[in-house]
Amino acid sequence: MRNLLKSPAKATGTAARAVARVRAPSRLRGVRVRLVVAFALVAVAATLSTGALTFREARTGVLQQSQDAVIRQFRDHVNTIVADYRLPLSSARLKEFADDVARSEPTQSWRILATYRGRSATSTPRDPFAELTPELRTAVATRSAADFQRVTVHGRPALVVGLPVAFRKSPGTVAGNSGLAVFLAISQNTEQRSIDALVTSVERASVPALVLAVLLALLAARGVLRPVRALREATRSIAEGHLDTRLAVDGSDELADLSHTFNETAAALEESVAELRRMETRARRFAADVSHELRTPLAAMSAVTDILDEDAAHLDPDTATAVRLISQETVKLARLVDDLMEISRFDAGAAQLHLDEIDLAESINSTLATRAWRETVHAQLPPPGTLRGRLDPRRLDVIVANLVANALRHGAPPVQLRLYEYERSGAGRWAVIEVLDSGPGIPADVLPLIFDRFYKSDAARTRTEGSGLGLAITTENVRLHHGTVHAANHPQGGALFTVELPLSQDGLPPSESPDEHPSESPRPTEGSPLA
Amino acid sequence: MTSATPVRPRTARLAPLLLSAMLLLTACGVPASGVVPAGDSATGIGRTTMLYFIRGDDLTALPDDTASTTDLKAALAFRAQHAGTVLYDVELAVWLLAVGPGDAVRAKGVTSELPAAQTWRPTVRVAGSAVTVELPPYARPLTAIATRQLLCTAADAFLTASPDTAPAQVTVKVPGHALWRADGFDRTCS
Repeated sequence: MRNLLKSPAKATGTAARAVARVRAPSRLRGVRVRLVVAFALVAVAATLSTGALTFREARTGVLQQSQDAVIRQFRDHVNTIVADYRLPLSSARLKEFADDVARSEPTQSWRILATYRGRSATSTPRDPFAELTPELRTAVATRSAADFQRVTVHGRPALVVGLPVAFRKSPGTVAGNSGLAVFLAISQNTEQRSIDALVTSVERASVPALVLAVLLALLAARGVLRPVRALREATRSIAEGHLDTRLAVDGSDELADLSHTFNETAAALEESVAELRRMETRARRFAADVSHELRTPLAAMSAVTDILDEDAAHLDPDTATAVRLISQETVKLARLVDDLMEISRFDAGAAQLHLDEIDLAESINSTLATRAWRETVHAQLPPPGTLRGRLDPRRLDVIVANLVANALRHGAPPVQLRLYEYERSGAGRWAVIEVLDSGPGIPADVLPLIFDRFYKSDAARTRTEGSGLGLAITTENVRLHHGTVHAANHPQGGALFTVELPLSQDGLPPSESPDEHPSESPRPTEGSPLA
Repeated sequence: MTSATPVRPRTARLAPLLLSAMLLLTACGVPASGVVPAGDSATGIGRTTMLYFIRGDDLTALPDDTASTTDLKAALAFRAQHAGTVLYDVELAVWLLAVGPGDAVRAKGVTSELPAAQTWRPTVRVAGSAVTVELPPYARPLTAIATRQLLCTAADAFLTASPDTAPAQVTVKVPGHALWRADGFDRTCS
């Protein structure tokens, strides 16, 4: 029962380890990295979009302000200057006019182009005035209103303002377009510098924002990952069998919720396991009590049947047969109760080793002799006095007797027994007892179950001479010695049982180690000296 | 284990957004623009009627500086209210030309071959860009240079007054004698 409880826990443990193994390489795509990437992306996107929008607004503002100021100044100056001029203008006067306009704003480098009647004059001699596009020229010629255009010529930004001049309003005449137009080209380098400064400031703002976002992401990842790590540790701890593991629940977020659920699950699991253990203990105690209670009446019955057996010869044949049958069954029952009590002691953990320095060959010899098996069992034992060890002599007797009895009962004679010792690496000297019968061997599907209690290899044969507990008791005794027992089929036929026992209990844990399943022993049969 | 996939598509979705933002920032500087209206035109230039007289053997354009013709201008200004400013300008120019150069310029050797008009006025008609100047019947035909005086003065006045329309087609009519035409500004004018 304890094994059954333990093995799922073990399985969960290995599963958890397997999952951890699978997840370990994907740490690069873990929550931390994803959070950092997401935060950084959001920060960059937010900074850039905000910066871009702000930049656009600011740029529009800068440009609008500067060009409005330029246009106003330009118009004012032209208005002042044209008062001194009268149309039509000769080429010389046109040039003079352009120069006058250019000179009116000495602090800025204004370049002026004046056009009239197909003639044009520039303030700078032989100025190609490449900034003036045909569109602006057409617009100024057709609309009697000022126009401007921002152009980029040879990579340099410039503002071009076209200003038609209307006639003076005077009595008798109507103010109309005069055909004179003035164009102003002005470099926008100052504005370019202001805008560049804007870009730089946006770029400078995004770096601290990015750093801050990454820090926040790391902080958030820490907040998420710490409970997750705690949860993982707790799960592993539970898988290792520490059912009392609980998580500290702080906060009220989803992770705290998860921790809470985990605690509830762990508590429920612990409660179930405790309940199962209680039930197991009760069942064991019941079995022990039953065997104990049966023992006294059985002793009385044995005494009675012994007497009846002696008198059977004087009874009539039918009654004699019945009496003998009762007598046999009573003996069997007494043996079964003894075995049950023995196994109950193992289950209760009450079985203890009474170690003694013994000669194993001698001990086995006496076991065979006591049970009158010297003729049926062919024993290959080392010379007396050569193989000695600290073992429990009574339990060794039980082990050997059960194995041989099993071989005689279920296999077929001759039965071979062999005892030898070997040096196990790092574990000292070990003794090996092999029992080989000449029967049909053990079916492969029965092999893993052969050491189970009351296991019958033949389901139809419900009644055997044994109690059904012999091999189980053997197993428990071997385990008490920290040894192993192993069942296999010999290549030449027959069932081969191998028991390995350490010859010294020093350095081994004092209590029994129930975790080790006897049939899991990796002892190979090929190397068997009996082969 | 299933959590590995979403990272890459998210970056893929964000990439164009970031790219456009970067472009917005990098495509900065002073952007070029179209032609944008920017308010009123400049105003306040005056005009002078240019009269084409003869100095030596060639035409010369002289601004009208006669003070004695103010009554003439006033009379014309009254008519201009009905006739329009272009007609006024052309008419004034032709009439001033017919009056002849003033004493001050005459003293500098400026003459006119147009017969002095004391009792008549040329009739001026403007239809679109076509200007017709009709003279009273003369006893003899106009000389070539006198015709050019008339053509150039009328064309100059028309062009100054209405720079937006096409150059004038000037026709000079002398009943019974001849018809002279000139397209816009004759090259011989200035």
